[in-house]
Amino acid sequence: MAQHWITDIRAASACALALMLGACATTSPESESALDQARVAVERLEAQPLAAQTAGKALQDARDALGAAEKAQSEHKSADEVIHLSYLARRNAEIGESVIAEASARTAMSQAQAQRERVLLDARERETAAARQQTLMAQQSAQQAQQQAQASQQEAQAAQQQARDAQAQLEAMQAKQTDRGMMLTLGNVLFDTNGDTLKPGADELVSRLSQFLQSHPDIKVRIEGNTDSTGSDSYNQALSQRRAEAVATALESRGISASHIQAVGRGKSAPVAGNDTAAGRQQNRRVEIIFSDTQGQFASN
Amino acid sequence: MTRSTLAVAALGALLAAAGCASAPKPTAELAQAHTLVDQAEQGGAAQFASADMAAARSKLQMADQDAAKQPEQSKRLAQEATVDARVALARTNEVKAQQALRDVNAGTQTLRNETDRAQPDATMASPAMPQ
Repeated sequence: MAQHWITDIRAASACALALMLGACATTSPESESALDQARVAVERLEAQPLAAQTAGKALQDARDALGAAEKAQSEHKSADEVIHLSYLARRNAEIGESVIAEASARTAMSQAQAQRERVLLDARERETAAARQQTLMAQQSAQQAQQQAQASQQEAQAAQQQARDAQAQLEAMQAKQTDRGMMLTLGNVLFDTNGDTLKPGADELVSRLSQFLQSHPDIKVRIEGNTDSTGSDSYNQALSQRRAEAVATALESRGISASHIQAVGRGKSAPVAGNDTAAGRQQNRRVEIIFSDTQGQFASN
Repeated sequence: MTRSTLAVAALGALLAAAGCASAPKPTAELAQAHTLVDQAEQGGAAQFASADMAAARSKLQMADQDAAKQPEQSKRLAQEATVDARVALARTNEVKAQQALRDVNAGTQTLRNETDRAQPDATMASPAMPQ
């Protein structure tokens, strides 16, 4: 380590010579160099824009020490003194540099803390927004579920209404509730005896039936032809089948889909009265129209 | 060193012989140096400005040793120890402030990364919500 405050032999000799001459004055390359370093350090500190404002004391100390060093040099004080004062000037200038650096770090610190606050705030805002979004979505899905429930309730109500309407319309056509579902019994007036062609008088009935089926497209019909016991089984079976089909064909010609219509001949197998009287046979000769429910289902019987 | 010490001793002798009055013991400068070196140590300068702190301590030790015999040199050493301790303390404060700044910035960056990571998670969570 350079012990610069300790003069070397040459300086000592010079001083000894000077002392002999009666004055303690000397200069050396070392003192010149130390003084130069001090000047450079002080100038560098002075060049800092914030020096006077931020590091005023260090700057003042450095200038004072440099002034003292210059004075010592010009007054030919000892090299030790010049080097010492230059050192104090240079070190005070370094203190000033550190003080300025610290101050600028502190300034940056308050900016950094403000930025941190902003980031924290942003994060909180994002969280709040996400929570709001989730709440909104939950509300929307609850609303949707409610709307769906309402819609299905309305649908159910509409279906019930339609079923009630159908029931009322069928009742208006004199259909009766039976254990096979709603059933309309048409007397033998639709056909001539032993005939299988619908009489013109049947038009109105077929028209009302087809209108009803068109306004209730989910309702299907099963048309069953029946006879009395007069004549052979096969004859009665075929006749009842043809009569049922005649009604079915009439409905189809008015736009009712064949898939909604079943035509069945039951011959004399399903009498509703005794065949031993004319009145009983009259009752047995009939066409029955059985209606499904509004889902197209027949009563399972 | 021994050579220089001899030279200084010779100079001292010469000064004495020449009638230059020897200065009194630099009590005030030594006391101030001790105070400042202690302050710097308490401020953590040994950790953050070890070279400056070492210079201050070694000069203060020599100043103490030279106090009686070479008061002029002791005074300079004490003043230099004082300024070295001040430099050490100023550097320590500077380094600490810069470190604190780095810590805050690093914390902010971490926070930013976390929220950036958390954000896609939040948007991914939304479709998983019951519709």
